[in-house]
Amino acid sequence: MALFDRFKKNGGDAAKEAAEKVEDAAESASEAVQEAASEVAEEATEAVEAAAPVEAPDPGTYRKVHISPGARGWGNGLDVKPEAGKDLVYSVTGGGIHPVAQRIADLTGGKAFDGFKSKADFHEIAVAVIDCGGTARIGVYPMKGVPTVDIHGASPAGPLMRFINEENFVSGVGVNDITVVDE
Amino acid sequence: MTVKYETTVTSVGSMAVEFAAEGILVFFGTDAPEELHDFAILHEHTPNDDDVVSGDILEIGGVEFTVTGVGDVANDNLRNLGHLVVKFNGLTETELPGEVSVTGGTAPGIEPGTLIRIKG
Repeated sequence: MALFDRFKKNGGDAAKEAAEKVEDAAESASEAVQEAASEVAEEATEAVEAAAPVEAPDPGTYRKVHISPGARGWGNGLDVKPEAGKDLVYSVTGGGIHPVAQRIADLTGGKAFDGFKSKADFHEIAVAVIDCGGTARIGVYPMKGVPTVDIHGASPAGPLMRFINEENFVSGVGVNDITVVDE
Repeated sequence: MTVKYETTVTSVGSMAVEFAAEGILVFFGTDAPEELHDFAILHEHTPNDDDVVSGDILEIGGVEFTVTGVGDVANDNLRNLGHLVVKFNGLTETELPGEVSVTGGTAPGIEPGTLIRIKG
């Protein structure tokens, strides 16, 4: 118990670590340990802000989502709904498909796509997800008519700034800023 | 000084030339999606270990510039994507989080084969 108390106090990273330990502890199945474990696991979940599970749409169908700017983001938000032949959620981010792109794909029924690994045409892209600090990518996709979601809280800037507007760009977006729109 | 990063330019996009005229060099690794090639100076990226920090020397085709400011996401961009945005404005706080500011005032000439080094 002392171990879990310590983890609970530390929160944050310690909570994540604790959640891993919790899995082991649960196996050993003492009731008291399990009780403490569930408390710690709850904290761990909060710490990583896990997105609430939502069932994927039926295969071959698509759902509309609203993507809101994050607390430090820019824009009014975008509605995105993939359609057949234009259903790629195009991640142009470091380190593979970004969790925000994956979340948009999961909720809409679109296909998460790594722009650094494979090639796609603009007409196939429903939405682009970038981790741009404000100079280049921020303008390239809006210029090409692709709705663009920036993970970073960048405002329109850079040489292509004139192409960026509230109709095609939103920034500071995290996984919890994406909500399904009932139609 | 040790070399933190070294790479050779493989191509310079048509729009990248216009950016350069505004004092901005936009680099991307050759893996960058095709739609970025027009806007970018492409190069053979090898992920670096050491972060770029103020006081480092950026060498472009043998011409040296001193790094005056490094944006919050500039090092992630470089390491993950070979993406580097250089402005020759000498600011200690970059205008945008993706940028690296250096001395110099104007961007130097750059073409396929130009050697880029960062030393610190």
